[in-house]
Amino acid sequence: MEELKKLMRQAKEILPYSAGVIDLTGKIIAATDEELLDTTDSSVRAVLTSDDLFASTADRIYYKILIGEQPKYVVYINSNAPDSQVSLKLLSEWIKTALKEKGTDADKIIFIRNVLLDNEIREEIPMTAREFKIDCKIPRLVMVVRTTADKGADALELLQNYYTDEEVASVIAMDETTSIVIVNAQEAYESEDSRNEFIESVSQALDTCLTSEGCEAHVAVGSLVRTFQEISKSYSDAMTALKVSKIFEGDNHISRYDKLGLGRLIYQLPRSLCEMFIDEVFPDEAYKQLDDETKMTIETFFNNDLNGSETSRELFVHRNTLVYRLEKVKLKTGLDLRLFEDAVLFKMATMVRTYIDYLDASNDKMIR
Amino acid sequence: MASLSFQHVYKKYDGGVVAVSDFNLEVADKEFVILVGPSGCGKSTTLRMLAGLEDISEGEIYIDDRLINDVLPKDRDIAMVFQNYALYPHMTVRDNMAFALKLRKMPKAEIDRRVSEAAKILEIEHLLERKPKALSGGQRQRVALGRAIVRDPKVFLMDEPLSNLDAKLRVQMRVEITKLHHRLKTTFVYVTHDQTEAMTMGTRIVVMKDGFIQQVDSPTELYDNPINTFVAGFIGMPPMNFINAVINVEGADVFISFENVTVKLPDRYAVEEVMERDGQEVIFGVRPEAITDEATFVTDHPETAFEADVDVVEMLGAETYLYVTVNGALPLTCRVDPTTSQSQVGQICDLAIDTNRIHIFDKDTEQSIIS
Repeated sequence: MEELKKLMRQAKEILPYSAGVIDLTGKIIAATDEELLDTTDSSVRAVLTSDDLFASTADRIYYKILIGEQPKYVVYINSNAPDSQVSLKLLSEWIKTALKEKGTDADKIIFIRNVLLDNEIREEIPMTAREFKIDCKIPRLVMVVRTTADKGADALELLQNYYTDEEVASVIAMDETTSIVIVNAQEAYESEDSRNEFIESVSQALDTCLTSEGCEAHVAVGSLVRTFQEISKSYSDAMTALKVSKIFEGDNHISRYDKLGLGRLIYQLPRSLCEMFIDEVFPDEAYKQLDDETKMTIETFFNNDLNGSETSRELFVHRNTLVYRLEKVKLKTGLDLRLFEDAVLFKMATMVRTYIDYLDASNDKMIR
Repeated sequence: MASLSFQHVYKKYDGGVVAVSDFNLEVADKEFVILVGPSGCGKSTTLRMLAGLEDISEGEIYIDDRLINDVLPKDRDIAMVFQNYALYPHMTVRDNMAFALKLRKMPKAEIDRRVSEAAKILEIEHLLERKPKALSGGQRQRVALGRAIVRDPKVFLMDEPLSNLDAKLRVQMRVEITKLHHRLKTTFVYVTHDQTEAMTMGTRIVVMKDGFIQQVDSPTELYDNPINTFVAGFIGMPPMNFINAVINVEGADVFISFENVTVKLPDRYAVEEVMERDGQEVIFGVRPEAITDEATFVTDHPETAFEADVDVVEMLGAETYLYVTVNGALPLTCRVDPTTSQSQVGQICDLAIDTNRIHIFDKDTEQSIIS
C-alpha cells in the first residue's frame, strides 16, 4: 500500500491528470489527489466484470492490472482526452513493474534468510540464487548486528544507508533486534595476511558507523566462507560469537568468531566437567571469598602479562600493596598468580566459574 | 558553540557497580576540557553519557540550557572521535566525510561545501577521492577528524583518539587537535589516560579516580597545587616522590624529618595547619626537579641538604634523571641539569631540596595540608 502511495506521489510530478489506484472492493487506496483516499468508486464493479482491460465513464478511464490471469488493482485517470489512454497504460505498466520488483525483493530477502538459517537444500541454492542475480562464487562474511528492540529499526535503516551497493554488502532484518550484514569478501582472499585485516577493517568501520550515529549495538562477526552456499556457517559462527562474548567479554562491542579463544572451548564443555574443575581449583568456594578490589587487581595483573610494575602503575597502588593483595589470593586459593601455571589455572577457573554462573542465570530465566 | 553542565550525575550498573559518582562540572563555551584518570575511573562512561550512548542513572546533563538526559544521541548536536576510529573502507574519503550529512538528508551543495571546507582545514583536499586503504595513519586520523568537523557540532567529544597511533604520530596529532580547537572555536571534551596529553592540550583538566572527580584545574595549578597524593602522583613524569616524614616544630621554625635527614621548611609553613601536627607523621611530596645536585644551590641551602647513593643515572639530553637511595632505604628520583651535574653511579652525591616547591599531605586522608 505504501509503495503504491509513493508511486502516486511520483506520478503527480509527471502526469497532467489526477490519477489513482482502486482495490477490488472499489476503495481508492492510492491517489495523486490524497483527499480521494479511502473514498469508493462504484463504477469499479462494472470495470471488473468487463472483458476489456480498458473501461471508461463520463470523466474517468480505467485499466485493470492483472497479476497472472487475475485482476489485482484498477488504475484510473480523470480525463477523457485522446492521449489519456496512452498515459493510463504507461502508468499501469509502471505500477505493475514496481510491484513485481518489490515482490522480487521480498522473495530475495526470504531466500537469503532461508539460506542463512540453513532452510534451503544446498544443491538447489545456486539455481535460485541465479534467479535473484546472486553470484554464488564470491567469498562472503556474515556479521550480526544486535541492538535493543527500540533501536532495531534505526539500526536497520542506518545499515541500509551505509551499505547502499549490493556489490559491497547486503543487509537484511532477521527480527526486531537483529540485522544481518553479508559482506562481499573477495578482498580478504588477496593474501593470507589480508584476511585478518579485512575482518578487522569491516567490523570496526561498522561499529564506528553505528556508534557515531548514537546507535548502541553489538557486532558479532562470523567466519569467512568461500561461497554463498556456506553463509549459514558464517551466520551460525557469528551467533556463537555473540553468545560466547556475552558470557566472557562483557561490554565489548565487537566479537569475532576467530578470536573467541578460551571462551569457545569452555562454552562447549559439559556442566558436570566444569563443576568438577571448579571444585578442584577452588575448593570450599575459595573464589567467592575474593572481594571486588582483589578481583579487579587480578584482572589488571593478567591484562599486564603478570607484570607487577605495570599493574601497580595502572592501579595507582604501591608495588607492595599489589604484592600484599596477591599474597592474600594465594592464602585464600592456594594459587600464586606470579607463577605462570597457577595464573593459567586461575584464569581458566575464573572463566569456567563465569560460564557456570551464566548457565545458572539461563536456567533461572527458563524456570521463571 | 555550547556550554555544558553536569549536575550530580551518577552512573550505576546492574549489580551495584557505580562507575560515576556525583559528577558536577561546568564547561564554558569554547573550552577544551580533558577528563583524565587511570583505567576504570569513569572518564569514558562520563563522555558516553554526554554522547547519549549510556543512560544517566541519576542527575542532569545540559548542553547550553537544554536538558539532554532524554534527548536521542543523534539530536544532541555532538560529534565523536573514538579510540578505535575506523574509516568506512568501501567509501572514498569524500563519502566518508559526507556520510553523516547524507543521512540527515542535507542538500548536496551544502554537503559539498562542508566537506571542502573541512578538507581544507585538515589539508586533505588532495585525498578526497582516495579510499582509506590508500592513506597513511596520520591521513586516516585527519579524515576521522574531518568526519566530525563536517557535522558542525556544538560539542566535540574525543575518547582516547590518539591511543592507537605510534608515539611520533601521537605528538603530531596532539598539536593538530590543539590547532583545530583554536581554529574551530568550539567546545571540546577529550578523554585520555595519558597525563602528558592532558597537560599539553587542555585548558582545564578534570582528574578522576574510582568514579569521583579529584580535582578540576588548569594544567599549571594541577601540577603546582595538587589537592591530594593521587593527583600529585598522577600528574608529572617522573612522578612526585612521596616520603613518609615527621613534622617537628621548634619555636617558630618548622622542620620535616625522614631517614635521618632534617629539612627546614620555609616560613610560609609556620601556620596552624602544619604547627598542630608537631611530632606527627605526614607524607612529604617532592617533585624530581625540586631535588638538585647543583653545587652552588647545595652550598647555599645547607638547611635542606642531604647525601644519597647514586644508583642509576639516565641521560636524556636536555635533562638527567638520578635514581638515588637515602640511608640505604629511601629511593628518590631527581631531575637535574646535565650541564652542571657531576653525579655518577656508585658515588655518594650531595643533594638539596628546593623547599619552595614541596607538598605536605595528611598521612591518613592523603589530602594536601596547606594549599
